[in-house]
Amino acid sequence: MNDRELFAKLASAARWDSPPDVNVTFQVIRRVAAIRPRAVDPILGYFTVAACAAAGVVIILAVQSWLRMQDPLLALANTINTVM
Amino acid sequence: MDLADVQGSLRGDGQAFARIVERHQPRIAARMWRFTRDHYHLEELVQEVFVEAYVNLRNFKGAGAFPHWLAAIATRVGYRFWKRQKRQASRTINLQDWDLPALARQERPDPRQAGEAIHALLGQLPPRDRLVLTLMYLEDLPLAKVAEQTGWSLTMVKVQAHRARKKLRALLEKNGLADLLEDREPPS
Repeated sequence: MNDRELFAKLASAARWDSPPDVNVTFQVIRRVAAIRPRAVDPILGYFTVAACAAAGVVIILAVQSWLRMQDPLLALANTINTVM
Repeated sequence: MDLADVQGSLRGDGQAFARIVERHQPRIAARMWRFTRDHYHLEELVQEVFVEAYVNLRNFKGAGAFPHWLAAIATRVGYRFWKRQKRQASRTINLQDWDLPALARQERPDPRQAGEAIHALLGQLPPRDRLVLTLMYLEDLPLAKVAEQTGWSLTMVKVQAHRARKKLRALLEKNGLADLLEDREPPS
């Protein structure tokens, strides 16, 4: 018997060695649920869109004012005045 | 059946993925049993395989069989586990616990004992050598399949197998099996 045959003999016997029963379905589904991206809450979504839109308007107004006046402080004051 | 459940899982159907797990976990557990003999680690590894499969589900194109795709993931997970263990020096297994010569002389070695002994024996080798021998001898996979499962080229699998067998031979001789080994290669 050479080394390959010897190892093959042990390995072929070991091939029939079955594992203990495993049932991990519940754990896997729980872990997978944590990974799955959650749907965005619609109310939170509307608020986010509204906040982004308002911020966009403020930025546009600020840039416009700054271009007209060339004075950042005055532009800021003007923007605040416009927004208020 | 698998393809329908994969598509269902991608649409967010949790039940579809549960069916995949139910269907394949016995086979995956059998594969992971090659990588660990510890029940706790076995469950952890099986879970890891399915979680990794879920994360990569979009990459399954349906061209090959789903069990093969899953087996390749299991091989990667098992290999990573061995590499992690290799870094933890405390996890060495004592080969002296196994009377390998006596086991090898038996006409039909007991599967459980043979499994434990092979695990202890291969545990002495670096993870790459251990992986190639496990897939070739314990999983009985042809070289092409080993290449597919490991992501290595066919040439690399052959080279790795040659090196691993050389180290295994030295290991067998070191563990009292020298008298069982005949037709040895001449010393180089």
